[in-house]
Amino acid sequence: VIAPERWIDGTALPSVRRRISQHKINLYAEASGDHNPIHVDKDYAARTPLGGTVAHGMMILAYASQMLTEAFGQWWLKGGRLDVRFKKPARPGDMVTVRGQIFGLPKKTNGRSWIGCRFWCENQENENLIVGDAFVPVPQEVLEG
Amino acid sequence: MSTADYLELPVGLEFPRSTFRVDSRMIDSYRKAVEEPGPELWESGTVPPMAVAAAALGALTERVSFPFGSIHLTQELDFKAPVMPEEILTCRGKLLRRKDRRDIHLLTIGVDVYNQQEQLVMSGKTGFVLPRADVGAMDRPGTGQSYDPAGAEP
Repeated sequence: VIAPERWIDGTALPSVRRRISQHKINLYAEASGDHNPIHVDKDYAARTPLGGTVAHGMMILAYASQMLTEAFGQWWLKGGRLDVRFKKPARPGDMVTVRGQIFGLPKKTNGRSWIGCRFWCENQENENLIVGDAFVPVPQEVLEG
Repeated sequence: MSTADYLELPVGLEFPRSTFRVDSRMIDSYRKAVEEPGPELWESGTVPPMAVAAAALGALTERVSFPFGSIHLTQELDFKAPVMPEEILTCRGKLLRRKDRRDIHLLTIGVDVYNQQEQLVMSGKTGFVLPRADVGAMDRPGTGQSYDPAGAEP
């Protein structure tokens, strides 16, 4: 967990790396109930312009949440906001890396203080799969240390 | 389970509520899928926030039939309160916005998830790009090459 004294502009978040596999995609389909054949049916997906199955975008976004858990622990688990854009799909065999950093100083809105983070998920070709912002609520007393 | 066709959805339409339990089997599948660390690493024992989001969006997609070529373009998520394992949650979805363009439709769907105490635990907005029915999905350039069609801002 990043110590409060390092909640400053530019601090890098701990990166997360995950290898995508069809087995994991199938497990995610089971967990989410999203069994769209583009995710789980190889034969079907092979006949589409995608040329094969792709991971659920939300599955890749889960890695960003893991990064935020590692960076902020309970502050992220108790609540927070994500605002993302899906840019490209991830495929079985891809290695996905999530990186991010704190931007700006904590801001106080509606009686709560928020740490802003910018993050991106990229594949092994350094192509962005997801780009987005995260906001983590932290108590004012922790900020004032 | 009945589903609505996206072309028939008026803005403001509220989808039928879905109720689901975030049970241990679902959480286990989720953790294995995304290689989430086990609960022993968490002080709170709460359900991973994105597992709640996954279940909520899964419940939503049971209510709407999207055609091939539909793209999940944007996602906003606001986690309001932690969820504990075995909690029963209710998902309420609403069509917030719809834009029809030359060869695509842009839909924004709002999702609110409540616990059994009627406390809002998660709120979100999901942006989808859908192909026009009269444009063949296999013929559309760029499908699968990019999730970022020019000018697509739900």
